[in-house]
Amino acid sequence: MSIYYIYQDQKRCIGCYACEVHCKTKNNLPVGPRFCRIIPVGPKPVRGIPTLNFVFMPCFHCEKPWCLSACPTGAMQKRVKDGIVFVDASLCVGCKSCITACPWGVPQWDRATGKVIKCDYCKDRVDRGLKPACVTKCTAHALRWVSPEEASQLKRERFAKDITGN
Amino acid sequence: MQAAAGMTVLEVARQEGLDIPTLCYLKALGPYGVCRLCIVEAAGPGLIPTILPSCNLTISEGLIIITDSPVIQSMRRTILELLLASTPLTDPLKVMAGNFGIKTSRFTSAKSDPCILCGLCVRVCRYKIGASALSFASAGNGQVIAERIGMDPELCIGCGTCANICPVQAIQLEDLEAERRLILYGTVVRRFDLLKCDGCGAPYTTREFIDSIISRLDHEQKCSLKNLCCECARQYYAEALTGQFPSDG
Repeated sequence: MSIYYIYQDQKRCIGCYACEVHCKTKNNLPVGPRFCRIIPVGPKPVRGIPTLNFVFMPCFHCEKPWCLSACPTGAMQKRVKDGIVFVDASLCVGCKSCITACPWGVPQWDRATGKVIKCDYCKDRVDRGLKPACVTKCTAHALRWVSPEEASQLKRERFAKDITGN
Repeated sequence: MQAAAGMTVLEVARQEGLDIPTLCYLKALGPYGVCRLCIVEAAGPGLIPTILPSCNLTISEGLIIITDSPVIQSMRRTILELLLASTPLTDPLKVMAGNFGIKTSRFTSAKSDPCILCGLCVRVCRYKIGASALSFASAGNGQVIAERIGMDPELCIGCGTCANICPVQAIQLEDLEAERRLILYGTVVRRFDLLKCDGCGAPYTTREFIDSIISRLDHEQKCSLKNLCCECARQYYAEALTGQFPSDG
């Protein structure tokens, strides 16, 4: 997988959709396609209390991406230096193989150009030492731009806090 | 100007931000040289000054290229007018005609279909999708795009890439409820049953297309494919990530 990871602390997320809005603005997306999504799950009873979770779903930039294997033109590419998976628009013929192959429904269709577009972790920003738009503008600081190692550490800390009631 | 060996004039021009119009060129498919809109004036060592399509012209030391001149403009206008005589004014021809200030064509055509024989559909189907369901039929003025018949009547997988890249909408894809129709020159040539998403029940793609994608995936990747549309895929995994698997599991 990519050397980066976007960690979401679901306890902090308030479902304001600022990540989606700023992603669309930064990437100049038309009506329809959304690179990252906040998916509300619930409300479902957890220990008797109705609970609503907001799950942040960007592209996971897989180690062995389905989209990349499915792409017949080489338009779907993975950067060697950091593992970011992105589309080279000049090579995309709009066959939608990647859309069909991705188990998470990440690649998006741009009707106007007849090509696929997707989350590239805002690689232009990353290359300038900045964080992706979604992370930068997260109002509740629920999103963190980390390495996968840091993400697992954060998850453990969150779990430890939860079971001790802190 | 310097560029990497083996590049074509068109590629170098695009890299340098010079606009050369094309209809039949797609980077994914490589040069084809039939629309002739990308013509340039070329001269240089061992080359008599001539007019050549830039998509097919490989760069060499000392090559002199003029991408825009009164001669080139005039020839491109004529080519565009000839194309417009036989096809409706749709994008991207509309944009090009606008750039050249062309409103009507001086020519007329006896052709009844809008196809300009750019070959994008045939090439993408054969070399990228790997289905080889489309080919050229007949020759000369009677040449048309046709479904490849004879070998296997089920070559088309209903992906619709041909319809997507056709610049004049000579091929169209139509999804009606549970049926996908491939329309070539106004006639329905293929019908497919659309698979329904296991989540929302909406029709989303063809079995044949999924099979073709599966053939490019490895075992591990194949195992995790589900019959879900994009929306439901995201929902399904969001629920999975919260530890609350969807009820339909």
